[in-house]
Amino acid sequence: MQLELANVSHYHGRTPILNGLGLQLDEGEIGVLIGPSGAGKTTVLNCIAGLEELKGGTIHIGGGLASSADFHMPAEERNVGLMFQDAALFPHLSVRQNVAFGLRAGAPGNDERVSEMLRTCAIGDYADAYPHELSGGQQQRVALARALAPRPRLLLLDEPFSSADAALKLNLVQEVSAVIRQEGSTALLVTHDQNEAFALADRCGVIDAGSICQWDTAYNLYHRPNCAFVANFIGDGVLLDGKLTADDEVATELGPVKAAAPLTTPMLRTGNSVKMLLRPDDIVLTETGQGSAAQVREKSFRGAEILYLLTTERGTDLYAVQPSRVDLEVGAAIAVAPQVDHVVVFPSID
Amino acid sequence: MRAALLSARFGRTAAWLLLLLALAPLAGLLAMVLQAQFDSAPWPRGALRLLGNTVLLAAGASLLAVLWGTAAAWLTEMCVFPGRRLFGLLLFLPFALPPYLQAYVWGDLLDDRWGWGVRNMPGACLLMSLALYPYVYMLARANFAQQSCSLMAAARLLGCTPWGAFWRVALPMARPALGVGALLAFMEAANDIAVAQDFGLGTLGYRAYDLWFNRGSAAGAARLGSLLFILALALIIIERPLRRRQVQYESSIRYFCCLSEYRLRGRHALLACMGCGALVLLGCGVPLAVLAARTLDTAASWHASRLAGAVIDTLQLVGLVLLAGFALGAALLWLRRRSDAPALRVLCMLPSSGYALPGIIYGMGCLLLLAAAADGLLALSGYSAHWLLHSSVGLLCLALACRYVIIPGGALERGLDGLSPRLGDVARSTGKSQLRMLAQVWLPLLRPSLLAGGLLLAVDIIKELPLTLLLRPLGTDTLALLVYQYASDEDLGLAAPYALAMALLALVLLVLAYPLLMAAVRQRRQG
Repeated sequence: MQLELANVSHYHGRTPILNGLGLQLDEGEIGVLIGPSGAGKTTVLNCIAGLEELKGGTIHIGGGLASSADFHMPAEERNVGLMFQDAALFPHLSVRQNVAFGLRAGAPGNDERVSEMLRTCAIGDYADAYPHELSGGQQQRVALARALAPRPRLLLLDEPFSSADAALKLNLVQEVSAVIRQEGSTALLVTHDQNEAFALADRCGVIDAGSICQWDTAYNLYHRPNCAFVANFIGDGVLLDGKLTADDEVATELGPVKAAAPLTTPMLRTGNSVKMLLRPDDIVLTETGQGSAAQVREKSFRGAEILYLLTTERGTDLYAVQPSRVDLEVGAAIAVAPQVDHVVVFPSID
Repeated sequence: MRAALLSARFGRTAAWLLLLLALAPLAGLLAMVLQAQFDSAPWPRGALRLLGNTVLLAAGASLLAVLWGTAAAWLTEMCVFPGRRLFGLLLFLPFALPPYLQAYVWGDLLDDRWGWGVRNMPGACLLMSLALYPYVYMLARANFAQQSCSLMAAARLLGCTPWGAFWRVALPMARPALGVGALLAFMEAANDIAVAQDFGLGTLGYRAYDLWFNRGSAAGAARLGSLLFILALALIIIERPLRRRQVQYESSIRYFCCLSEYRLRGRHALLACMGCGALVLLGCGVPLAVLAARTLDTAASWHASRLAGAVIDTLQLVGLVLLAGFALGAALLWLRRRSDAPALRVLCMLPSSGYALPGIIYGMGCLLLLAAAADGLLALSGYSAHWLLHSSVGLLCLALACRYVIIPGGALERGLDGLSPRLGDVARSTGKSQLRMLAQVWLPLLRPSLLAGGLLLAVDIIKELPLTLLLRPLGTDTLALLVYQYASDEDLGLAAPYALAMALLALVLLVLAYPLLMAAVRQRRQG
């Protein structure tokens, strides 16, 4: 285990920021923490990097204790790289000097390492330029090279792409991901952008109010969220009222939905009211007369597909996604039915 | 419509007149320097030695000022220790005491009472640095505050110890700001005449003053003045790229957090407290206490009415200079921002170099120009306006306003730069008149920076000596003048009440200005 956080808590004054947070990363894995702003994402990174001290719990890096309530290894001894939102390049040093900053002065092989990083991150052409002469994307690549040059045990990335524009972002995410994997680094990234998270992550966690709701693969976060917050936060969708009529069947206003496996748990018995997650791709159009009647209220064109907001006869809102060629008018009366591959239900809190 | 056109034309004419006014002292100074070159009068003896002494004094004082200022700024801005906030303010306060006051007080205390010889070059450097380090301190603090914390965090994560991060990142990035601070301290030290006189150091400034005032040798004074002018010119040339680099470093910083503060504990915290405390005591505490004690000693012999008169004269002068200074600053800025002609823009920038020119030669330039003008008037109309030269507060005010125009002008410009350029468009699109916009939009928004600039200008005017000394109208005795008069007669006891009043006045203004200055720094930090 290259990184292990157990039961970490942290306060700013008296305000709890992290609250019993835990996560693990194996060597060579890329982990992503995703969550709304103010959830404590950056604080997690600061604690791991040693920029803030813990109030409780433990952090192990590379198997050794780095932080606990009564122990704090100084940041400079942790051998952890951090890439900031704003690149944070030293403005008084050239690109080459920035990259070499973390290498031990005079150690053999420094020059080779710097050249290697300049090449890997494709910044060799402006090795002698100064940070203010570079574009945002170039600055981020230099920051990555600088963070990776000393071969850190762990690379932390704090929303590194948030200032890049959308077109550049996708490229940058892929380049960074490729560099990190080529270097074989273990990395933890925080972001509020799901696409970024899904593109990079081996493991992904949703963080809310200082603790991690679910630490899992991106696929499971989307299709098997373990709580209503994750279900709402990841992807589009609605939570539809229903009732468990059998241990693998939910009755909803759109008709019964059958699950592949039993849905009942010790907390959830047959007959209980539940909320069922309906993703936009769980709704299919049916011939009129079949399924349930609904009306198109809004549509938003997304290129290859169109996302529709529908209202059922009972006034419930649903999202449905259809290929672009199915072009419905706003106000059109249609019929829909649920076709759910992964049935996810949460106890209804009434 | 017609009225608007007329008022616009009137405004432009007024701005042009103010520009000419602001350029006049420089023209006089330049004429004096050029004339000195073609003059057949011999060079005053030992001119080179005087130049050497001036440079030595100014360099020594500014070097020490950089040392104190940087250390103090680093401790109060980047470290956490008990009393740090209070020290932040206290360390700024020695700015209230001009270098000559430090020299008088410490010279009296150490030299005359305890017999420690401080009335020499090293002593002068040390004592001047106590009065000058706040320049470096405030600039360095602003710079440290604006350095992105993520840079310090990055340095730490790349293996730097706190010390290493200071040496390898924070200090190199602060270099332009420290350089500007050092130059300001240098200019201020080169501007001095009173310390040199009191300590018996032959410097260009004092010698020129002496030649001009006591020996009536205008030509010799002009020759020495031209040396000072060349020195000042060199400083200005060094300063410009530094300022530009400072801006460059600032603009590459966007994201801030508060992680990189160093918590000092135990021995280190005690040391920090003691260091800051010593600087405050030496720079401000002890001199004030000495002055207070001397004031009480001589309580029987001082004249309350004379003190009151001096305070009123000082405040009157400050008020007039503030008015003139802001009018000049606004006019120059307005002309410069509206004009497309590079030459005009340069002309508008020129007057702000006045602060770099020693007050003594600035004043000589003013007097020569006026004398020439009065001579011209006499030849043309037979009317002698020479009485103007020595009996007008207006002349002194204008000269001071011109020399210090960079303070109000700079405050105005920084204030405007901090606002969105769209604000004017927004306000205009709501159909407000120019006057309304001034009252409802610009003045409220610019108030903090104008206030801060005004307070700093006031402190400078209160402390100013050489220019006031040269251009003082008869019957006007400001606090600084009286302090100089009594103290240069080696009677600190008589000077003490005036010195105390001057220091307290400046102290109050600085305490008022401090939160405004810090707020401006923090605001830019977030912006």
